[in-house]
Amino acid sequence: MNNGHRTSRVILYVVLCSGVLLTVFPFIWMVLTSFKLDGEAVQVPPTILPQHPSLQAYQQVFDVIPFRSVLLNSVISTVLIVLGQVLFCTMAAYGFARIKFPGRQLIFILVLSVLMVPGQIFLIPQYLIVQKLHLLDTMGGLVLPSLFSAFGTFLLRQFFLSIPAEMEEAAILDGANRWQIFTRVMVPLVQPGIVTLVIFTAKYGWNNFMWPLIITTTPSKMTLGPALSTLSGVHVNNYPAQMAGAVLAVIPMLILFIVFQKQFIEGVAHAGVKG
Amino acid sequence: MKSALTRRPGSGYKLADAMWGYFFVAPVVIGLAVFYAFPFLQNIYFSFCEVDRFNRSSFIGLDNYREMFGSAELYQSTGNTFLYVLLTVPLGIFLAMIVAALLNSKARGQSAFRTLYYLPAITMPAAIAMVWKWIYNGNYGVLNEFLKLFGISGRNWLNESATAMIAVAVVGIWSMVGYNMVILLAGMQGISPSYYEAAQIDGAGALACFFHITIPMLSPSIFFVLITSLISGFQVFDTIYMMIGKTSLAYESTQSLVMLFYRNAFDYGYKGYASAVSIYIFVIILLFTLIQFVAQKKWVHYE
Amino acid sequence: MKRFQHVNAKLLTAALAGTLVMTSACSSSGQAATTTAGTTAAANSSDSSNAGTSAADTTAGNSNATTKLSFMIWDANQQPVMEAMAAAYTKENPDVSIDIQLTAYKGGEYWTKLEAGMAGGNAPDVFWMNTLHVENYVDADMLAPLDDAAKTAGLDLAADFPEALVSMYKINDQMYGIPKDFDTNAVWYNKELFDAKGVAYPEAGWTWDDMVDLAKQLNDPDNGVYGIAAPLDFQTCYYNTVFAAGGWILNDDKTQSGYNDPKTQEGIQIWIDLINEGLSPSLASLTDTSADAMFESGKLAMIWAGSYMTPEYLDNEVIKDKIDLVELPTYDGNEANVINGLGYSVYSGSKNLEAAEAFAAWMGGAEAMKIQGESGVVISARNDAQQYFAASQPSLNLKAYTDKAAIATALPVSKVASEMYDVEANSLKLAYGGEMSLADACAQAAEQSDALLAKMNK
Repeated sequence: MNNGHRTSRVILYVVLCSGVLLTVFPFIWMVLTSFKLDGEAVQVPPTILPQHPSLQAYQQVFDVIPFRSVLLNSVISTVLIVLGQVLFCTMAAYGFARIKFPGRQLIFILVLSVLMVPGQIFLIPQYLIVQKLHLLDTMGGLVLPSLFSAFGTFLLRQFFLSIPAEMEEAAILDGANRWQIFTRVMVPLVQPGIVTLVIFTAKYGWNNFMWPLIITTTPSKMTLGPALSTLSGVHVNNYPAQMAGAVLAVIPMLILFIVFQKQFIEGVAHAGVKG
Repeated sequence: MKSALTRRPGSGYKLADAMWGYFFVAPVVIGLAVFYAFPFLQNIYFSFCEVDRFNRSSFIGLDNYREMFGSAELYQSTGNTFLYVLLTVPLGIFLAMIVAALLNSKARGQSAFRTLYYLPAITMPAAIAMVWKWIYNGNYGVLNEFLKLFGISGRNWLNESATAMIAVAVVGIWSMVGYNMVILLAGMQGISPSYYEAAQIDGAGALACFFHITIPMLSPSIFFVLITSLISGFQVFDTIYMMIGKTSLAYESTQSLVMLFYRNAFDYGYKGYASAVSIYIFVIILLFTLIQFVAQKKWVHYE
Repeated sequence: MKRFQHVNAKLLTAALAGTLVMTSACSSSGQAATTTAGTTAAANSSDSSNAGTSAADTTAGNSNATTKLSFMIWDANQQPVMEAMAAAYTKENPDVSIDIQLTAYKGGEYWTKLEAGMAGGNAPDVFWMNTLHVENYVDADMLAPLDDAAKTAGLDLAADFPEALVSMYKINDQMYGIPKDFDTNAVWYNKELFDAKGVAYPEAGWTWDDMVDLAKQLNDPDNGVYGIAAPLDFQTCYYNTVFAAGGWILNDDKTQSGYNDPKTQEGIQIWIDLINEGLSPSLASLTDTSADAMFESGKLAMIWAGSYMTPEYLDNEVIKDKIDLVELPTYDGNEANVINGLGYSVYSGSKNLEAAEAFAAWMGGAEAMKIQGESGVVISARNDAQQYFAASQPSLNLKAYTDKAAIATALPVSKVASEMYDVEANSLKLAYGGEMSLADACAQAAEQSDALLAKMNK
């Protein structure tokens, strides 16, 4: 029994580790390329380790991009988008999952249908709307269309739907109103879902590209995505510089994920207390 | 408020509750209506127009649709897209389930594994495309070098119709596993341990627990992952666009519907025609989503 | 449990308040930030004579300028020199300040941004334009004619610029772009590979057959080294030989394509022969590993390349000291070269139309073109400034590029050029890949292209 247990543990780790190797290889490649010189990055056959490890690519990134202002804009816009989506999507998801009202199914399908058309069709019309609101080249215009998410609403709706009805009924009997039930009973129970949404939304807001590109014109208001794209030329790519930019961009997301997944487990632990 | 909700059952109670419902969904619904539904309606109108790069439109009736349904490219791209969905979605969800289940079994270093599996989701698409192109490279690729060890001669994976779609699908699966895993794992963590404890007392093994507790309890999350994977599969664009060049002999056999849309809207500036293609994509995805929503009643367990 | 719930309720309320406050605060303070950032940057760059050492430093001109022009470009490598030119202009015209916006070309980002701005009526005042887009933009009345401004600025378009370049931006007898720079083609070679085989370097006046002979001597596929590469590249490779062979791609009134002309096919077939003889890697191989990547890794002895590749090759640590270049070989006794170039265009809806036109015209003047030329990044379009490009690297034979502007043929373009290039590549790749005869592939390309042209002219 004990032996069999140990064997299955070993198999588990072998499977997990080989999966990890496959999964992280491109990421490692990205990091290694960022330390190569421009010529070495396109060399055939490719080198794995940088032959002349160099910080030149990082230097180029800082030369071309006003990194501090770009980083700050990205952080602010991402935080706003995450806050907005968490609030609005949690509310809407609760409404769709737990409250009966006329037209609920239809409205929900309409919400979902936003996901079903190629996202690029929204670009120009949204630009014209934001222009009418006089929000071009502002932080408000940058985040406004992203505060509302069909994806997030759907994600959290599924989490709300898996919560036992008794939890809510007990609160209703205690005389709580819908808002109180929502904030005090339901939100804590879907915390893993909210953390998942935070992780995805942060990534989305952080990597948002085409929208900030077209609505910001002042260089000091640019965010990371469009700024990094200026590193690619017309005819040729400076791969090390692009990868260096990507590495710099990924670090905050990585930290966020590591921090939040701790939160995520604690949240689950807390929610577990209820049972 | 309090009394309206609980103390006075009957029609007044329901009305108040319905109002609460509208209150909760209002911000998202209004926001989506302004920034998404309105552009979408305009897009429908544009599909009946000739629209240039600068959004100037003139009504031409059904011409775009006639031209679209008359072009062999549409059917080829539709077939390619379906093939891609078929290759990536089932396997992408299955593998994510396995990884999530393994990580949920209190493996040591669980959080490190989870972070590592999530890495593809935050790696820059350009980096992903570049690495996989190297892996598949016909002359110097790692894959061919590896096959050589077994005496198998390599191929130009991304340049032959027979292999290019499979090669692209592998990258698609690779990118979606970590993403789906995060959602499924969150769902698994939400399952109360009491269910498993009860099952263990009844003498159920690990596999029985997985099929009789985990899968049913997780079905809302699986459903979410299925719908979003289908939608993103039908909208596949980035990886193929970056990996298959226009001079590849496999270009036609890998071009997806969104690539067709994108090329017409942005490369050629035929925004009206592109709108018609986007409506076609929308209808296909809508059909599949509706089928799933009907079918879910058979297998998704909501509390 | 209780405490936890409480925290969550607070968090949500805070999120609501936070979002609203921050959104509104940012949108209102955003306005203020624009002006502050603008003036500080302006003050910085007017102080430094060498504008553009820092990327944040993008506004050139006097901080109390009355006219503010926005100027969009797509190449980060040229941003410093564009800033220097703008600074020189604002020094002469203190009432103007110029705000440079950099947007990448790759992935169509530049055009998407420009077109969104035009759809909303507020695009940049001045911007770079290329031949692929100019006809569509003129057709939609988005560009201002620049003939009068050119005259006022003292430009003599016919005398000052290569004819082929001027013709690209002259539509319905009006000028819609002041020529900025141009590119032509030449052959680069790896001296180390030549020396290793004891083969003499190619010299001006060489022929296509000479090139094939050299390729045979240099070819060494067992070591992964090829003599030459035949990528499916129209502008750099086969259009040059099509024109030299007496073939054509598009007729003058843009109603018919020339793929069915046997002379056109002859100019393409000689490239396919290079692949068939094993002197060039296969098309599939070149799709996986570009000819440039091979050349930059020392695996290719000779490569046809546009002048815009010069900075790329010279930045490459592996090859930069081993390479030189020579003009294209003649074919059938004829020399031909494809020329393409950028222009400065002005948005017809600009709120400062007159100032924008004046600035665009000034950018075509001798002073501006000298600053641009001396940067060595591109070949200045003006005849009297072309020399600076070659002079920027005296050890290299860059005259192989600049000398050919006079004899060069303009890259064939039309309103459906992007589609025609795709149609052409889709057909020709079958011939390059050996799946179809060239005659059949050309017939297919001709049929589809002529249909596109017919639709365009309708």
